[in-house]
Amino acid sequence: MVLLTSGCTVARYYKDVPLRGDPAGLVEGESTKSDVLRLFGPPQQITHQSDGDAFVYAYEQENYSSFRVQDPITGINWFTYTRQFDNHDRLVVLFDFAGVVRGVAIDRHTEAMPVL
Amino acid sequence: MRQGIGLLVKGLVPALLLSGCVMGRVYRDHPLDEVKIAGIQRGVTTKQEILDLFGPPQEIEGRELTAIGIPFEPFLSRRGDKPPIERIVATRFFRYTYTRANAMAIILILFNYGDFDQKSDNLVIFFDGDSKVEDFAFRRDTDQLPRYGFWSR
Repeated sequence: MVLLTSGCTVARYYKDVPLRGDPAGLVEGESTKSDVLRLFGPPQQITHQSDGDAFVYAYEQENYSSFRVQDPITGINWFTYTRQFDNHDRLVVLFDFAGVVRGVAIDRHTEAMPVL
Repeated sequence: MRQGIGLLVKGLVPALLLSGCVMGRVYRDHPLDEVKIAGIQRGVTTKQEILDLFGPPQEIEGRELTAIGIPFEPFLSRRGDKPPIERIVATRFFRYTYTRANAMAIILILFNYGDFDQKSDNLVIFFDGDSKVEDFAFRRDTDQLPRYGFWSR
């Protein structure tokens, strides 16, 4: 009875690919926009700031799992537990007006996600 | 004890076998021709030639359009700085993309699994003030799309 009224769901969502290239290879004040394009390819987003452009590279992964116990006759949920992790790897490269790298920031969160 | 296990198996097996499978494919826009991309030359290829080769881009950034009629003072970091008109104008690009996504779901009575994966090919072309290609970058990521979700990842 319990088996027939309970169920679990596991779902995965992946958008784009993990970041490639090593940001350590970028030197602030020396590396150029061309170097960044060669290393990391086309950015997902190009934004403009008051002092230059910014390239944004991102990889998104979402892990979802749920466990539900449901009344088979009435359909009422007796118990539901859900857990969702929506994590990103992000690389932001800031340029000045001359197209020279002025700042780099990277965050990697997808590797630390629990499997379930 | 054996009867109990037998009952459990009899109940569990049909529950697991009563299943459904869902597969989905998404194709957005058209694949980018790498032969044409290889023909792009920095400082030589013009914006019109890019349009002739690839057609209308999915994204156009025309910084010069946003700069017209807007006072530069709020954008300058220090009072008295000269507006960097040339460089602002030079920041413009076309973006061409081709996106694919594969979806897969297995629906059982007791367990459901869903998998959605989306990858894109991206071509970004920057133009200089003379409407010639200043720089470009291409990346093909749709090749990395797993065909059958978890099992082919």
